[in-house]
Amino acid sequence: MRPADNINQLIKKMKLKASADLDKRVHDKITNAPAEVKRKESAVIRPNIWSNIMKNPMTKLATAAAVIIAVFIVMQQFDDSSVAWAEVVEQLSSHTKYKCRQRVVREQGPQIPTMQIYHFNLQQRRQEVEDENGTIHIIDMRGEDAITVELDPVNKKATVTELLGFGPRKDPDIIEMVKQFEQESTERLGTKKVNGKVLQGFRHQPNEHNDFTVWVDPGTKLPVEIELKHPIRGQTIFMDEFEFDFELDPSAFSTDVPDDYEVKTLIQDYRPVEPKEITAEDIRDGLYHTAYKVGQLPWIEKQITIQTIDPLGTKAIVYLIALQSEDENTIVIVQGEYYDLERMVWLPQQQVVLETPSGAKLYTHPNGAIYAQYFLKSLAEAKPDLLDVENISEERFTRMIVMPDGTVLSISANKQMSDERLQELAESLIVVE
Amino acid sequence: MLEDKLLIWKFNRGSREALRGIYERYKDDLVTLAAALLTDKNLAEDVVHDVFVSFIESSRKFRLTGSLKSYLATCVANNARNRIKAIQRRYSVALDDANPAAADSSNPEHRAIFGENLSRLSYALEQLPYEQREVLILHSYSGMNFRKIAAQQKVSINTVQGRYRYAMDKLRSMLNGEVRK
Repeated sequence: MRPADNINQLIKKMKLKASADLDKRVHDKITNAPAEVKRKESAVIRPNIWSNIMKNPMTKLATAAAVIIAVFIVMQQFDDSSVAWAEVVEQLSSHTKYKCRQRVVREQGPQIPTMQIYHFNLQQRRQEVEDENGTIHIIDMRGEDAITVELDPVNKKATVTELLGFGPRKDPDIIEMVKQFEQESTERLGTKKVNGKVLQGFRHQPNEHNDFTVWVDPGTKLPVEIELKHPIRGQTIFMDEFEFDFELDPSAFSTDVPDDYEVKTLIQDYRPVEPKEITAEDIRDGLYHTAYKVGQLPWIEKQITIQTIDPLGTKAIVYLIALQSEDENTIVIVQGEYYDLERMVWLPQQQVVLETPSGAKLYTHPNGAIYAQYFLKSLAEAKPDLLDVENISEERFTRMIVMPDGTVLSISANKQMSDERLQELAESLIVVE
Repeated sequence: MLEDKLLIWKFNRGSREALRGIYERYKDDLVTLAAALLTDKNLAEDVVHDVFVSFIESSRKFRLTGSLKSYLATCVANNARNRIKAIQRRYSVALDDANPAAADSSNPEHRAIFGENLSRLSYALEQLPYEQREVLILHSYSGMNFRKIAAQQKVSINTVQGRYRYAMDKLRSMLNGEVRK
């Protein structure tokens, strides 16, 4: 290959991502754009249209006919009870709290139970799960430390989870998203009958990740059913049984556990931490699921364990076991609280590349090289003596390991590894007792 | 192309969703282009921001004659060149000496803006005179032909081809075999 071709290939490899800050700046500008556009519409466009129409008598006649037909079609399509999307948004904006039933259907992975959700505001909600124990979740994200309480009324047991440094934050609320739809980008779907009531449908697809369908009661101009499809994640959320401005005592949103409950308290620490060296036992104490350490392997020359903030930006703490092999490869094994199949629903769709005799499965990662770069860079910053950031290689790769007990770990290596070594490494993982 | 035309059609009718669609579709490519030209990601994001602000203001009067990608790339290149000229005025030195690359080449973070694996390329790009770098990046990264670049830079096509050749020669000698794979 000619050097010029190589240089062109290198140049084409350049890839940067726009930062969240730029996204915000541009989206803010876009959000403020319609007012300017509307002003221009009334000032410039309308006179042009009319002057063009009036220039030619034939155009006049044709336009008049078109207007009559259009009016006729509109009258046929929408009777007196027809609702414009803007009216739905206006109605929604006049209500501050709502209750609904939420069902989630996932094509793969663990299912989420159906629940009645009471949204008190964007930071507090109560979820009544339709399971055999009638489990209740109270979520409060108002303070610096968010709190979730899970109450099991049958067994009188409560789990309180304190998410240190997680709040204050707002709920990613679906009704809030629906309120942002614009009239012009919201498609009418016609009508359907539910329990004898005629509902009017609207569809809005802001991007390839979200596809909303909203069925509205023309009388109240409020949603009766909402369906949100996440095509890429293979998941659909159904919301119905809406009740706006519900009556419920504010104590129903209290995170205080009733006196007769047995309480288990969990702490999840999202506060920023400096990377530090820790022991395998520290991983065990930091995780609510099984923690693993690496056993002795003849080709591992150095091993250290560090705790750091997830370089993927989740705010969570992750635990890295860094290994240096005799062939000068650097390997990072990552464990974290969110490393489970319930959250990593994409994992079973990946390709299994190796299955060890003890039943651990190694999967590909959809962005393995990038994932590896983040964790190797994180290690290099914490322990420059172990890995020089300049030496992060293009051979780097990632494998996700699902252990026989369902725990998920990842292995990222700076250079290629043979299947034999990968298998030895996966087999050497030992539960920290 | 057809999707771009549909987006522009909606954009000209004041659709915020179309604007968002255009931004989401091209933002990463434009930030990369601007960063390659200016060798500074923060400056690059400012350029892309300014280009989109102007683009938003052009609603209803915007007419797309070629490809939208090429139009936005041209806007980014023009804006980047104006910034370079502003720096030139500020420091009253020649264009090629005033490019941020010269000032930033001591900063390893700037050299690594495209990742560690492309750090040598980033460093080599920084060493090129701005006009040569612009031709090289617009042609090799954005796929713009020499005729368009010539029209944009208001120089002859021969000058553009010459700049491209010089840029390639310099890069080749600087990378000195690093690109052999």
